[in-house]
Amino acid sequence: MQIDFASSGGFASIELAYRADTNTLLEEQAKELARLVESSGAFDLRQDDLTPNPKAAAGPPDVISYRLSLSEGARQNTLWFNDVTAPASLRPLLEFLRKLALEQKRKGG
Amino acid sequence: MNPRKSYYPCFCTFIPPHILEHMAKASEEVVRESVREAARLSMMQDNQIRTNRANLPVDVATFAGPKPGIMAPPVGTAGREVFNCGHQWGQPPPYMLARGEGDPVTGDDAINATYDAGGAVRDYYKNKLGRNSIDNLGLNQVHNVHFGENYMNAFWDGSQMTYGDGDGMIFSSFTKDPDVIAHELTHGVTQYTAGLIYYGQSGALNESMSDVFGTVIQQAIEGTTADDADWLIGNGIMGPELFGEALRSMKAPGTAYDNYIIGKDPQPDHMTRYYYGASDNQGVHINSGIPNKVFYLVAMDIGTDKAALIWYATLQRLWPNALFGDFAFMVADSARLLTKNGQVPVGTTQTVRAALREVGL
Repeated sequence: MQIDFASSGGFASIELAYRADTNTLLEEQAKELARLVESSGAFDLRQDDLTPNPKAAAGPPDVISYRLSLSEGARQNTLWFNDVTAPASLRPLLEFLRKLALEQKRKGG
Repeated sequence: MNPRKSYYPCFCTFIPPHILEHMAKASEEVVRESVREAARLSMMQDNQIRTNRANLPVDVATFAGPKPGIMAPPVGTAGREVFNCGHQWGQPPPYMLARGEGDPVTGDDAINATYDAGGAVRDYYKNKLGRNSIDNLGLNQVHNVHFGENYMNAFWDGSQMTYGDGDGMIFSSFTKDPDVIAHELTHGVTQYTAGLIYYGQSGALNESMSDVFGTVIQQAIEGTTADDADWLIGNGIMGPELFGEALRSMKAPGTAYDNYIIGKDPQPDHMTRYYYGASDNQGVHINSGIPNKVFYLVAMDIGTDKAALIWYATLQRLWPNALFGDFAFMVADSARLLTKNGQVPVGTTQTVRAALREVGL
């Protein structure tokens, strides 16, 4: 599974990005990512359920904006949302991806 | 019926109707179209907030209301309501009200800090600026603390505040620094006054107003003056990994942080270094450094409270798609009017113009 994640904005205005292929990750991380993707239902979420035109929407002040792209075989999905429009089911996955992105920065990535 | 929904006195739209009306009168067609589109999108966001609230899970305990002894303040009394999200990713139901107006101190630092800072913000706006809460009509303050797990942010969603606890390494609780709480509440004040659209230059002005009143109220809480204040934003929420850093410097934009985790502070301190990129809603947290520095320079000359009077007058005279040039005109003109009324010293208009010139405005 390929994952491409980015977040920006928020009170601290930190830009984070993380891109990974679960085939090349440590087994433990790959398993956790796969579990969080499945439990979030991220492949099944439709952009229209979140907000009609999220790329252009500025959102309320200081919310973090997110972009999440997933690809696995024939399954693909790309979603844009923010702290207000993000479904609760996606939250554990988002926080895990932000944590991985910060780990990457610590390692100089 | 959702009990939380009936509990709230006001479901404000992100951009109030009178501001939408103002937008419709914008002179240029291009501006009019872009503003309308932004307003339409913001209203969609607001609808999403309402939908989320309407979908809150309901259980039997919800109908029981808050714990015994914890009372929500009456509607429209500018009262504080601090809710505990309990590390869940959503707005808590009414029974999670942890401290209402006048309730005793709890054993939770985040709840107490939010309650105290919320009171200081309300008092400053009331006593120094003559404003009755966020909407000037006594809107109660609703704060949600302990949002999610390791959530590194705080935001105003159009009607209430939400704060995370941070990850404990990079950031500690976002309730630890009163300037964060004052910053978020000021987004509410801006929503009910200028209604500055959160994009591009109007968005940077929106952010700057929040930084300005965030630091003004922090100075009032700490009893500091322009001369001995740190003029830093967010330094109180930095965790052990980045302790000593801050998120923004009003005195020297661009110098707040420089490290391998969150990078280098990108704020410009002059129009020649203006950020033209698309990130951060076209740089709302970046280009805010320019008007932030103007406030710092004026406050250093006439004092923080007098400078705050000018900025508050300006906030009430700006409009949703105002640009930096509009701000420059209005802040100088507000200084002139307040000088005429004897509320700021003679020479303040010239001080403001000199400060604007120093940042290239």
